[in-house]
Amino acid sequence: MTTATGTELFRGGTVTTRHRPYWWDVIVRLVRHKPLGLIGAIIVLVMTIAAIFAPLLAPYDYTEIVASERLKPPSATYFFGTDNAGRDMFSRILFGARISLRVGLSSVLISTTAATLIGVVSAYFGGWFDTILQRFVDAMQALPGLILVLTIMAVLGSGVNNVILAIAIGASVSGSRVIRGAALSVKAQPYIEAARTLGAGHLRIIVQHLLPNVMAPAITLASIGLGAAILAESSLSFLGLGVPPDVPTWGGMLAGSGRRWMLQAWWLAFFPGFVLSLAVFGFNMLGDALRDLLDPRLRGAR
Amino acid sequence: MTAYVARRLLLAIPTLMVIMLLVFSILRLLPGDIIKLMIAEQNYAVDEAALRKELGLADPAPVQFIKWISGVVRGDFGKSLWTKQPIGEELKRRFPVSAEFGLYSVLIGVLIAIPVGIISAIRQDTWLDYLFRSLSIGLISVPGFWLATLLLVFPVIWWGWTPPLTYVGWTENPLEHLYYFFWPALLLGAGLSGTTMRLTRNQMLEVLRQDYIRTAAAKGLSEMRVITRHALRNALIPVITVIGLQIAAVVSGTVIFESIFSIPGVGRFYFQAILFRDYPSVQATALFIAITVLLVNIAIDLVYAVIDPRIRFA
Repeated sequence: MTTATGTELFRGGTVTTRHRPYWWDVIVRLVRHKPLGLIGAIIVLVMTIAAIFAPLLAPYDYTEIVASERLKPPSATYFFGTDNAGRDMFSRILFGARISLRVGLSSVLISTTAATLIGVVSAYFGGWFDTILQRFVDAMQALPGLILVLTIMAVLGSGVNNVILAIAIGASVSGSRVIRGAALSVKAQPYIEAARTLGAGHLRIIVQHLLPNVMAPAITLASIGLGAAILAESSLSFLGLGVPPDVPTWGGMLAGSGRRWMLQAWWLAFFPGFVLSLAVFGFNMLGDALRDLLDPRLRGAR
Repeated sequence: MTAYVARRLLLAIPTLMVIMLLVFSILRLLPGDIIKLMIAEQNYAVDEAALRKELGLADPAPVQFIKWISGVVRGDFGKSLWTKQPIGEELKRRFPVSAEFGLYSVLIGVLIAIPVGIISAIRQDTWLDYLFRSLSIGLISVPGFWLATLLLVFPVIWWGWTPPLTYVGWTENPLEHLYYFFWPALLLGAGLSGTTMRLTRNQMLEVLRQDYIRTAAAKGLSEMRVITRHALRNALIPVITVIGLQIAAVVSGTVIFESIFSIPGVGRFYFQAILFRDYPSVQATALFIAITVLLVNIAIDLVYAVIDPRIRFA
């Protein structure tokens, strides 16, 4: 098979296809037809830049405690004010983006990979294997999102890596259902039967034929999962069961220990949550738009 | 219909068995350092051997499993390490509180979402539609615990007002009881309404394009009558499933909102059990929640089958 500009059809005609990479096409359609998706993409981009360049962008050291500068309101010196220890909130929120992105990206990478493997294998082999595996998925889905993640955290103990793992396990359970559904419909296609007739083994069929055809739902799963993963991390940090308290997180800044200061300093209650909502909104909008562009069959599913 | 109910219940049995197996494994999967922390932080026993005995970990695994299951079916969930109370009693007392809070939230969510979704659909692509659509997207993205934080901070600063934070029982004062639940239920319900709003709008748009709607309008029926009698009935069928699926979001929400508003429900108990490393309670509550969710899902499927007869024959 060739991906040249013109493909010779056996009838003798020529079909010209545009010589542009697929991803470029997706970006162009995003810009032209999905204004909300574009806004989402910009928010995500800004957040990524903030996370990567946090040490350069932060005006102050986020751990620096300045007793004389406690609970200062937002101003030109401290954009988002200072907290009860005199630490600059803007710098802390910038560094908070790091942990949110790190947990979000890592857990989504793990969960999407796991969900794709489990879903494809379960759908491909079917029969008893599928039935038993799906009962495990059913059982884990009986524990709703946050409860499942909390339960896994209770077993693993706290720490950033355990947060990532817990969110990843939680997301891969429900994700594997979506991929299994997609893989089942691919499995029923004639070309899979053709491959089998030609003597292709299980591994070859799964890797060469099934996996490439469930990539679109897998990518949309990942892009929609990012917002949810960031929300899950901040919920855990808010409850005090996530990352260690000395790491600045958006959820942690809103948590119990800072609450008594919020009545004197509204900015402590406002900015972390606002930035968190904006980030989740951005990922959700980008995810929605990508889903519509990549996989029209999933449109409206949520 | 009876056959459908029977089939649905039978299908739940293997899932239930796997749930029990998974929940049973919670204690057995604990790494050794957590067992050490249970002694060091919480003083649950004098040493590891004593704690293992207390947790019933001394017996061989199959014996433990049978002991545990036979307790569970008799309603004996064991004793909490933290409160030293029977966990079954604790759950029995707390479940009605959480159930009421959850239902209240779902009700508020529906009351917001359905009218907004309908208006959004019949005024498609007007400024009102755009406003409502942005609202629904916003409600999906804004975390509930932030909304709750804002509610507890800004009204105090501006007007010196705080929502009630001490639980009032139904028997003490029914009106105050309902008012106590109002604010947390409004916040959780608002979060739930985003999805329902979007779906109601999409479903209405789809149904409004059908021929029978044009026929109804052509007969000279008023717009109100066409919408309520002809369109809404059909549009709401999938919406009911989504409301049912929200049980998951509701249960997750109870953990957060019950903690913030100190509501004495199951969600708060579960959170505290995890915080205090009270693993027998974690185990029992996880099982309790899973079975509740399973039963609610079956109930929703049955309701769905009653409303839409096509389901039963699928």
